[in-house]
Amino acid sequence: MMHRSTRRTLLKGIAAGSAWSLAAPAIVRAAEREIFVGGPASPGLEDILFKHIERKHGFKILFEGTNSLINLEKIRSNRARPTMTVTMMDDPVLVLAEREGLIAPLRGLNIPNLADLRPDARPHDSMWANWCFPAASISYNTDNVKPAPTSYAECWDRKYRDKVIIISMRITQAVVPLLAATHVATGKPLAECLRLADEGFAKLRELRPNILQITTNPPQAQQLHESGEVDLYLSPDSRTTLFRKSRGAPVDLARPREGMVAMPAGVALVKDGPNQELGMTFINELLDPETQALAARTFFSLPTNTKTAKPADLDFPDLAVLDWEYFADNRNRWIERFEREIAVR
Amino acid sequence: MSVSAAAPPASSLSAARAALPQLPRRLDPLALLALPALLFMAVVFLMPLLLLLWASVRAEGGFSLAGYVRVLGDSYYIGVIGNSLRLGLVTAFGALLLGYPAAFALARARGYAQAILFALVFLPLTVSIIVKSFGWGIVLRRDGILNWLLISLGLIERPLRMLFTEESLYAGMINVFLPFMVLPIYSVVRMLDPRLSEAAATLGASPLFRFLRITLPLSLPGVVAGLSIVFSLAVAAYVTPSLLMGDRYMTMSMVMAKAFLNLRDWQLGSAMAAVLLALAVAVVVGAGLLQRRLARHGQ
Repeated sequence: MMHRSTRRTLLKGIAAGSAWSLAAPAIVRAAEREIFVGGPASPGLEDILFKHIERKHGFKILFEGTNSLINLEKIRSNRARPTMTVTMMDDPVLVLAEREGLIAPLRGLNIPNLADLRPDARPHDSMWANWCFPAASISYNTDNVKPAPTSYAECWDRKYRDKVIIISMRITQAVVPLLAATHVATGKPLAECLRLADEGFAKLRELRPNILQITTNPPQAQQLHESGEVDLYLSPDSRTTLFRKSRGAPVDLARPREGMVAMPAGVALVKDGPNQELGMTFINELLDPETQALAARTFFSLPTNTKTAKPADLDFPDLAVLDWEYFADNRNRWIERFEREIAVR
Repeated sequence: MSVSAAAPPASSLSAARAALPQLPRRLDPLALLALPALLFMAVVFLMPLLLLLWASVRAEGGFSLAGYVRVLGDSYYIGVIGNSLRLGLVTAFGALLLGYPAAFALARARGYAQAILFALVFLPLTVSIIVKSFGWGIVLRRDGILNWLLISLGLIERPLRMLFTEESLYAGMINVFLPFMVLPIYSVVRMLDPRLSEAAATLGASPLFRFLRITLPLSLPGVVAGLSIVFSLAVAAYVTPSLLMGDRYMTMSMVMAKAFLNLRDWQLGSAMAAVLLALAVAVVVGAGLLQRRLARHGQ
C-alpha cells in the first residue's frame, strides 16, 4: 500500500526529528569521554599539556580559561548541578572553595601520584594538590636594567622613578611586592613576612614615586614592560616572564638574595562534578613525573612530584612557600588598605 | 449564527466604552509595539535592578541602611564618587567641545564627504576598547608617537610621562564616547531651517549674533541629549578607566567590581550601584525636563 502523506504524518515527522535533534547531542555526549576543566588562561595549557593528557588517556578536555575568582563564581552558581569536573585555581581561592564545600578532598581517591608529592604541595591534608610551583620575584627589562637586581630593596631606588608597575592586590601575585616591602622594613625572611605584612604597608607607600601604575590588567603591563616603558614589574611569575624570555622578549626574572616566592598552582576535584573517574585520571596524570617534567619545561615552574628531576635550566633556589590560608583570611583587608594607602593618588 | 446576533447594538457599545477607564481609550494602539521591548527590559533590567536594590538594604537581621552609610559616610568612597562625577563631566564637556562643530560639519556635508565623515564617526565604535587602550599605550609612552612628535618639533627636550595620567584618561574617554555626542547633535542640526539664519543675515545680524541667538538655542536639545548620554556612559565606565589608569583612579564601577568579585561584599557593591543609578537617573530626568523647557522656549 502506498503511504499517503498527510498533515498529521508530516507533524509527526517534524516532532520526531525535533526530539532527535534535541536528544542526540546529549546521547552522543554521554557516549563521549570528556571532562570540563576550568582554569587559568595560561599559554601552553591547552596546546601542550592537555593535548599530552588527551593523547595518553583518550578522553577530551573541554577547557575554559579565566581567573580564579570567576572560576569560583561559576562553580558556586552551578553548585546544584555542577558541570565542571576539575578546577585549576590559586590556593587562596581554593581555600574559599573548600570552606564553601565546593571541592571534594583528593585523599583516599584513586590518585596514586598524590603520595609522591612534596608535603607542602598537598595543602589541607590533600584537599587539593599543587601541580607545579611557578616562581615570582622581580621581573626586569634586560635592555634597561644592567646588572640584574640582586635585592628587593633596589626597587626603592629613585633611579626607577615612574619605572615600576605593581600588580593590584586583587590579583594573588601582588603578595610579592607586599612581602618585599615587609622584608625591607623588618629584615625577616620572606616566608615569615606574610604574617607581618601589615608592617610592610608603610614601606610599600614609600615606593609610590616609582610606581607608574597599579595594574589589574597584566597583559597590558607586560607589553609596557617589554617595550622598555617600565623597568621593573612586581611580580608576574615565571610562567609569564620566563615564557616571554624564551620567545625573545627582553625580560628576565631576578634572583634576589632574599629568595623567590612559590606561587600557588592548585588542582582540585569539583564536588559532585560529572565524570569523576576521568577527573581523577586527569589529576593523577598532572602529578605524574613525566607530565610534571613537561609542565616544568612548559611553564618554567618547579615540579612538585619528588620523583621528577628539576629541568637543568631552571636555576631557582628553594622557594618560599606561603601560608595561603592566612593570605585568604587577610586578603580583603589588605585589598582595602592597598587601595587607600598605596593606590590612592 | 447571524451577524446581528454576534454584533452588540450601538447603544450598548457606547455604554461599554463609557464604562471603560479613560487610559485605554487614550492609548495609541501603536504604543503596543513597544510591548516586546518593555517585556525584554523588565526581565533583563528591571528584575535585576530590583534584586540589586533589595541586596543594598538587606542584612542578616532584616532591613539595614549600613551599605549606604558605608558609601556615603566614608571619605574614601566620597572621593571615589567625586572621581566618577569628575570623569563624567570632563568627558561630557570635552566631547561637546569636539563633537559640536563635528556635528555641524556632518550635517552640512554632502555626497562622499558626508559618507567619509559618517565613517569617521562610526568606525571607532567598531574597534574594541581593549585594542584602543593598547593603541593609546603606543601613542603615549615615552618612546611613543606623541613624545617623538613634540621632540621633533622642538617643543620639549626630553620625553614627558603621559601614560596613566588623569589627562590621558580624559583623552581616552573622550575618544571612546565622542560618537555618542556627535550623533544626537547631528540629528537636531540637520533639521534646522537654514532660512532662519539667512533671514537674520538679511536684517544685518553678524555671524556670531546669528549663531548665539538662532543656531545655538535651536541646537540645545541635541546638546542636552548628547551631554546626558555621554555623562551617563562615562560616569559608569569601568573598562576604560581600568585600562588607562588602573587602581590609581578608582571609580564607582571599579568599587562595585571589587565588592562583588573580590570582597564578595554584596551590600557595599549594591549600595554603590544604587548611588550610581540615582546619579544617572537624576541626570537623565534633569535632561528630559530641560529638553521640554527648551522645546517650550523654542515655540
